Amino acid sequence: MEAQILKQPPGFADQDLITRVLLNDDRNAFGELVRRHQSQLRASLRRMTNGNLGLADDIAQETFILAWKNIKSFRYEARFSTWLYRIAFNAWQSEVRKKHEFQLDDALMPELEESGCQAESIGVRRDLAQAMAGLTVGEYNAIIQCYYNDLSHDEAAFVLSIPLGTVKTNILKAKEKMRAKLAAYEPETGQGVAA
Amino acid sequence: MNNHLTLQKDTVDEMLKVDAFALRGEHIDDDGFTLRLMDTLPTRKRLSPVLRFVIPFCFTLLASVFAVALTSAGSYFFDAYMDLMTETMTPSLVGTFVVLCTLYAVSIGGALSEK
Repeated sequence: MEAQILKQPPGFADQDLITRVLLNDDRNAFGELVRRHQSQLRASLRRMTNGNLGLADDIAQETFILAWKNIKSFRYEARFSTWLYRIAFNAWQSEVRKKHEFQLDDALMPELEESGCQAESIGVRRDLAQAMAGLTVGEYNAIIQCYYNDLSHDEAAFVLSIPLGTVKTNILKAKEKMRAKLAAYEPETGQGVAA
Repeated sequence: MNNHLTLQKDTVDEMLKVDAFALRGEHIDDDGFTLRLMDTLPTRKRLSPVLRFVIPFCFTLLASVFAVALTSAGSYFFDAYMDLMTETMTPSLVGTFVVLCTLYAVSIGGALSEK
C-alpha cells in the first residue's frame, strides 16, 4: 500500500487529489494527502496535547478518518490543511470533554529535549512554554493556531469555530499575560519609542 | 490607536514567531503512520448506477402522479388524452409524434450515458 502511495506523482495539487477522491473514491490520492499533511497536523496535535505523542497520533488518525468520511462536505472555503486543523481541533475538544481535564504545563518540553536545540534556545523555549502554561484554553488555542500553525486570524476563527473578534481578543490577552512572565526578555529601555 | 502601543517592540510576538518558525521546520517522519491509517480507512458505500437512476426517476413519477391527481392539471391531461384518441391520424400528426418520441429517446439516452 505504501509503495502505491509513494508512486503518486509529486506535482499534484491538493485540489486535484481531492477531486480524485470525490469522483473515484481514490484511496491512493487520499493517501498522498495524508502523507503531505501528517507532519504538520501531528506536530500541531502534539502541542495541543501537551506533548502526549500517543494521544496526538490517535487524534490525528481520527482526524484523517473523519476527513475521508466527510470529504464531500469540503467546500474549498479554506485550505485543505485548515479544514484538517478544524476537524482535529473538534476531535481534540471532544477528547478533552471525555476526560474532563485539560492542564497546560510545559507543553513542548518532550520534543524540545529530543530536537537537539542549543542550550540557549531550549532555555527560551522552556520560558515560552512556561509563560503559555498560564493562559486560558481559549488563549492558548488562539496562540497555537495563529503562530504555531501559521494561520491568519480569519483562518483561526474558522478552525476554532469562534468569532474573529474573539480570536483577536484572545491573542491580545495571551500576549499581555506572556509579556508579564517574559519581562526578562524585554529590551532594557522598556519605555516604548513614542514615550 | 495608541502610538505608544503600535511603535513599541513586541518582544513576545517576535519570540513566538521565531519559536514557531523553528518548530515548523522540524519534520515528523511518517514512520508507518500513513500505512496504518490507510489500513483502517473504512470503505465508502456507494449507490449502484441502477439505483442512482431509479430513485430520482421514481420520485419524479410520484411527484407527477400527485400533481395530476391533486391539482387541476389532471383534467388538462385527461382532455388532451381524449383529444388524441379521437383525432384522425394525419401524416403531420404522425410526424409530430415521431419528432417528440425522438427527442424523448435522445434525452433519456443522454441521461443514461451520464452514469
